[in-house]
Amino acid sequence: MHYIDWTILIGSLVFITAYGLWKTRGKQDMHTYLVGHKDLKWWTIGLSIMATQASAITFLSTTGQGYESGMGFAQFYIGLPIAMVILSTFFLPIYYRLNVMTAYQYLEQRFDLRLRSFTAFLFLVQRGMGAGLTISAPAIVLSTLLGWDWVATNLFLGTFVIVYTVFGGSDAVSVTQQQQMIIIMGGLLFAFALMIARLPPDVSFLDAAHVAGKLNKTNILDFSFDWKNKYTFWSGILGGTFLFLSYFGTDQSQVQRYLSGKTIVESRLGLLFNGLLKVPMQFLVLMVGVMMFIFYQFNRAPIHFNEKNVAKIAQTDHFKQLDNQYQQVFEAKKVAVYQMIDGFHQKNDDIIKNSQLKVLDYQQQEQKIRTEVKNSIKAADKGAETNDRDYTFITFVMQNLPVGVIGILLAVIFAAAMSSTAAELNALATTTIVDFYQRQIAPNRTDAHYMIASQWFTIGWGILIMGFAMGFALFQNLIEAVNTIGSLFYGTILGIFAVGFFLKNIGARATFWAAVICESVILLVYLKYGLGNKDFPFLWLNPAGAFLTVGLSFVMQQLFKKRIELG
Amino acid sequence: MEDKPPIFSTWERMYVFVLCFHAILLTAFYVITKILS
Repeated sequence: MHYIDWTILIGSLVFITAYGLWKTRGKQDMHTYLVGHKDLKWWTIGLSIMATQASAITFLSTTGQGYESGMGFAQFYIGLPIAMVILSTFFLPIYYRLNVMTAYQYLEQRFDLRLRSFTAFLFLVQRGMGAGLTISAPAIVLSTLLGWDWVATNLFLGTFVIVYTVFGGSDAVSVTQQQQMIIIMGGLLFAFALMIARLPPDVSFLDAAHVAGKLNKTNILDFSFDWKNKYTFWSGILGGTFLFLSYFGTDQSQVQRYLSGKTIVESRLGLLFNGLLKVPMQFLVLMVGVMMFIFYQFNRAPIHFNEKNVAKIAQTDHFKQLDNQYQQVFEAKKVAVYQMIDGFHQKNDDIIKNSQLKVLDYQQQEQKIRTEVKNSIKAADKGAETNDRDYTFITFVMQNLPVGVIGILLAVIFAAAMSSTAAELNALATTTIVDFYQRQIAPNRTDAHYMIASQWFTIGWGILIMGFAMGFALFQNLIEAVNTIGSLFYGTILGIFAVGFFLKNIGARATFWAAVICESVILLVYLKYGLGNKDFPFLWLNPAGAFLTVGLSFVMQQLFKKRIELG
Repeated sequence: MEDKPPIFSTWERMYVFVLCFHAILLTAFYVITKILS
């Protein structure tokens, strides 16, 4: 990597961190350390919420989704604005009225300590694993492509985040996220503009959009009722709404962000800001992936995006033969794409249709060759991970963008990794201190004691997360892995909160056992049908878990009531 | 008074604005899907 890229990358990361620490300097107590001074304005809250959700995975993996499968993944976010409105109306006033530091404190006030601890425990398990993935995923991809040591990349990312989260606390996380989000959005827009500028001179943006459309990359909405199709309008609006209700309403890493608002008005506006901007942002990220796809219609795409894997078979005759075939197919496909564009210009449907069929056929041939390459890699190294989707964007950046821009886009990826990990770390430490340590293990200690304990728990969770990170490998697409882990727990957690908010006659015992049964069922269903099945429709676990918990709580309440009456 | 949003006077109207914006976005997605494919 060029020294200019290094300067931009290191300079921007150091500047953001130093600015965050300087801006939030001063004496803190445990409360302000964990949840901030509660003086944030809506735009900081909104950007902080978005930065917490947008990890490095968003840029590495979602662009890969756009490149490979088109814009359909946008449907995943359809339920988000609806969830923001529901949260602003029902959840936020309750949290403000009870003046809670963690979402789980509410559960003790409404039910009992056991249910509060159980829900907080579920959060710690799923968020701890999720946070491990948020660090490990970019570390795997970046270390492979840039030739960096994987352990060192993990340690660099993790240590950087731990340092400023430990010293600055919640306020430093929010302030740095604001700067990180500006870099992320600016970098994305810049990448998108650059991709349009990189189109061949005789191909306009509109031509490119039409080509993408004809090659099935712009099918954003799918109204079919196919259960095997993970991303449809229905799974997005139902499953997505439940997932985001649970993620933003009950996951401490998000609750902590918007509870740091100066007033409930600022917090509400922050949530709605997220509701307005999140879908367009994801649209832009996917569009970058689609534009990358268009770029590779006129420039040869790598036969396999993970160069380290290719090096394992590059000298074999079989690979050379495959590479030659791949080149021939690419040249023929390029001619057909130009024919399609001519068809658009002449408004000749026959030419468009014929060339479309040709390009789709060449694409299939390319896919076959790519699969053969993957098989050869597997044959040469049984332990090799041949899923290269998450390497697409970063390979494109490294091979095709000029010096300086590479540094900016790497800064985007690192900023995203740090922003989400810092918020997760802060939330894990807060939940451990407030819901377990202060409440159950060491009550009635001084504020100074809890302050030091909070810093040690942040360090402890940081080390644990890095430990998780070292244990992960690229099992499947990263963005799906993160959302799948969340979906295993979010339905049950949302169900518990829904009973608390809306079904006042149901007690703690019924809700606790309903939640235990439901979580066991969800995990069993996933182990039986989901593990290793890349087509598993995980989004539906969210409404299923929530409805099952609510339904079972109701049934159990009736049963317990009958037993009391009989007794 | 303090609980009012800075625009649209009431939170209900604010929510309607967010949902209408979302509906427009979805309509645009539908149009893109239909026109380009």
